[in-house]
Formats: sequence, structure tokens, C-alpha cells
Amino acid sequence: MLLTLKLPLINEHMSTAVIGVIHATEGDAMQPGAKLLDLTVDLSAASVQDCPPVSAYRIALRDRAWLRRVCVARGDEVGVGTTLALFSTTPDEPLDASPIHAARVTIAGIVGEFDLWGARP
Amino acid sequence: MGREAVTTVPLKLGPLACPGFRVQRSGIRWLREDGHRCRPGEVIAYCNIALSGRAPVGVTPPVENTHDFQVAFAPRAAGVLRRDPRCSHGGWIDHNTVIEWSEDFLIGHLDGAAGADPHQALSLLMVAGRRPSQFAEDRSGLLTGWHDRKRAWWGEAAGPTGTLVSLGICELLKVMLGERFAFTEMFEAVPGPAQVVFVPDNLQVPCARVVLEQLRRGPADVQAIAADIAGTLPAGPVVPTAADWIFAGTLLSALQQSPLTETYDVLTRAGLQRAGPADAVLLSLAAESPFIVRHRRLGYAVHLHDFRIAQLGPAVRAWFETHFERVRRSPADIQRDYRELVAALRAHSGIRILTLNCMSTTGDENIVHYNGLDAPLHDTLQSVRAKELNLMLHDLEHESGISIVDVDAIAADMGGWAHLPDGIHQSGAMQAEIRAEILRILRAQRIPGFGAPLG
Repeated sequence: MLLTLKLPLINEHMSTAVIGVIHATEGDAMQPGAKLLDLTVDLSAASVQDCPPVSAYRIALRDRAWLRRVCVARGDEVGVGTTLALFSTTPDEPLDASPIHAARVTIAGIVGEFDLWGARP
Repeated sequence: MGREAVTTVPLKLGPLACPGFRVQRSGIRWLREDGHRCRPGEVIAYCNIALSGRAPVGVTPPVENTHDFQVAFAPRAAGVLRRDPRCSHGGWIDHNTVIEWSEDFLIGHLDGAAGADPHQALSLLMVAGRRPSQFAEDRSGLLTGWHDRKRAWWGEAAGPTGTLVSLGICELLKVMLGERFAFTEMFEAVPGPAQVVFVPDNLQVPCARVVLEQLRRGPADVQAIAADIAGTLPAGPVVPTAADWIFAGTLLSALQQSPLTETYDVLTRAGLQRAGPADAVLLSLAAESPFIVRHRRLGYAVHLHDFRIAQLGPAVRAWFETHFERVRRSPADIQRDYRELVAALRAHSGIRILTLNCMSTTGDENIVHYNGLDAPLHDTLQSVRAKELNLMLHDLEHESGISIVDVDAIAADMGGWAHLPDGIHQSGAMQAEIRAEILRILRAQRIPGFGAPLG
């Protein structure tokens, strides 16, 4: 069975999110609780302003599944409803069938650790 | 019962004098339309003022006052505003301080102001802003411009003036300054004599470590930092731009200030007096982030907002990467900073400390297990970090008597999604609630000029 993950409406004021670290790679067998990706939501909707209302989130999988395709890359800004990843419940299931279930995920507000100073300590 | 008599009272400027100086003003600029129904204490108009003339021997001219110094006018009673069109002239006459202050000058009338004193119908709200540089001039409105310190006080009462200093990030900006960015809502609820000072986070975010270092830094330290910046910034691999030099100057300005030890010129109808240092300081846990940077050789801390870091030009970024190291700060580190700050402030004065806690829950999450979140959770999960910081603040409250402004409870009560969607930037209604809570605490602490405790 194919599972799909689309960008959820995490906050009712949001319209897009920017993809941050992608923790998993295609082909991974993911257990419930496995980290998938981090993203940031800027509620100012890309309008230029000081102190933008930016929040960071992590999405972790709640299903047991194989990550078959990551549809976004780090730095992409994507709209609500955009497909982020495809999963399957068996490792080699063809991807040409239509996903029939939404992957179940945990969404957690995380401490924003933006890579702004360059190298990490 | 008879009807209350309808009264029209003249809105005269009333007396304002400063021995040794002439008080000059501009024409009047209006904030309220003719026919507006005013509340008591509501600011309706303002003008620029300046103290001119030779200072008496032993008197330091109030330098800040000669730059961005204004008087706002607020009726003492409710009534309908009738503006006198002769008090505004437009153009530079309403900007430049070319008119001598006259106590009998009339700016309008107030209709239906039952019970108002016709000889003293206007209160003066004095506002002043200190520019980081004299060329940072913007007199387009009430308390407009780039300031490293904004303040306001009622110009009515003489006597000891209680001073609240807010070391602000954006979370506190409009709580303190209000919708007009000029303290107007705050002072509708403050009887005075009291002064409120807002020190914006132009560059340095006022976390406990930064404030502590400001308190301890002496002239020799400032000199060493200035010499280091002057030597190392231009020596990097990228030639600094104009914006980089402005950044460096602003950073140096922030590093050499100590807002909690400053004193102030306060002009009232009774003349010029001194106020401060602060009777109370307002801090915020939202200023405590997981990382700061520290100068490798001189040891001083710099704490910039993430969005400021993202805006840095290549020369300043290279300077930071070469001469600074990142320092991770756990809730325990922040608690240690707070303890040191409280001890230092207590040793310096009897200052009261108020701190905003932070919203520790969010409706954006659906956590069912913590497997995908790295330990320790306070380094990963925002809600856990916020809860640990809030608990740390409760420990400090018990240890040292600091006061907590319970933003967490106010947000939970009002609803985070509607009033605090990103955990920092509140709605106007929530800002009013936080402002009221701050004033309640100041009154309970009996800070002079902020009113009597309730109950």
C-alpha cells in the first residue's frame, strides 16, 4: 500500500513552508517515530519585515513504512498540500499506483537551529 | 435627578518652564479629528519642543532634549474635542521649535467636559528619543525615528519619579509603546509621577548574559572592544561596506551602554529634575535563545536575532566567523546567568525585576511519542524548552523575589492561535492584557508613580 505525505496546514495562518534538514533517505525502512524532515513556517508569508514570525517544526512518521521517494529538497518553499514524500508498506511496491492513504505523522514545534553562522561547533 | 451641566473648557497649554532655558515649541500636530469624543488621558495632539539658551553654571544641558523631544497633550476629562485651527501652521512651522511656550496658548476646547478644571484641562505627556547618531533624524511623527532609548513621563507632577526600564525585544515593543509607538496606552493607566523607558534591541538582544555584561563593563573594556573592532573588521578578507560600518557602530553603541545604571533628565511643569536609575526592570525569557556568540579574545557576548544574522553582509559574517565562537546555552546556563544578574542588580540598587515567561504550549503539535526528537528534549522541542525555562523562572521567584509576568497563562486563557500565533507576536488585545498585568505587578510592588495596589 502506498502512503503519501502532503504539507499539512500546521498553523491556520500559514500558506507555505521552507524545507530544512531532511533526516531520512529514499529506501529507508522507517519505524514509528522516525525523523523525516524539519521545516520552517514564516507567517509573514514572505513579505519583508523585521523579526519575521518564523516557527520551526519536525515531522516524524507514525507508520511503519519504507520511504520510497522524497519529493522536495532542502531550501524548497512549498505550499500547503504539496506532496513531500511517498511511502510504501512493502519495500518494492510499484509507485505508479495512486496512494490511497495519508501517512500518519507527528508534528512537533522544535527549537529553531538555523544554520546562519555557518559551521556548527 | 437633574442633568449634569454641559461644560466647555479651554484647552490651554499651561505652564512649562525650565530655569536657565527657554522652552520653545513647534506648531501643533493633531492626532484626533475635530468632534472626537476623548477619554481622560487620551493623547490628542503633540508638538516638538526644545530647551534653548545658555545653561546655568553646574547644569548640564539636557542633550537628548535638544533632538527628539516632544510634548503630547491629553485632556484630563472626557469630552468632545473642538480644535482651534490657529494652532497649526503646516510646513516647517509645525516641526521646528520656533514658537515660545506660552501657558495661555489655546489649542482648542472640550465640550461636555463636566467637572473639568478650566484652568488645567490638559495634561502633558513628555516623550523623548535618543538617537544613536545625530544624522538618524526623523521627525515625521510622534516619537518617530531610530532611537537607542525611548522614554515618556507625565509632565504634571513634581516629586520622586518612579522609572520602569523595559529591555525589549519585539515581544515587548508594542506592549510598552502601544499602537502609536509612543507609550500612549501605557500612560492612560499610569497616574505619575512615573517614567517608562524602552531600550530596543537594535542589535544586541537583551538576554541575561548581555545585560549582566553591560552592567559590569567599564570604560577600559569599552575602549578595548572599540580598538579591536576598528582593527579587525577592516583586516578581514572582504572590504566592509557602508552597511557593515553602520552595523559595527551600532554594535559598539549597544556594547557600551548600561541601561540599568543610566539616569535621566525629566522636565515637568515644576522644572527640570533627575530621575533614575531604574526602580524596576522588565526582561523577557523570549530573549534567551539556545545560542549566543562570544568573542574569542575579549570574551564579550553578542546575541543577535536569527533574522539579523541572515541579513549580515560578507565582511561582518567573516569577522564573526574568525573572531567569535558559538556558545550553546541550556536552561541551566540561562538560570546561572539570571542568578548572576539578580545578584549584580541587588548589589547595585534595590531594583525590582519583572520577567515575562513564555508560552509553553501550542496547538500546532500532535506529538504522540518522542522517538523522533533528540535528547535532551530542551535542546530540541520548543515546548519542553519553554516549560523548563518557565520552571526555572519560578525557582528564581522563590529564591530572589523576582516577579513573573505570566504570558503563558494569559495566552492559554485568550487562545494562542488567535492571539499569539507564533509564540512571540501578540494581538493588540493580548498586548493590552500583558500591559495591565505589568502595571498590576508594579502597583503591588509599590513602584512610585504607577498607582496604588488594587484591593
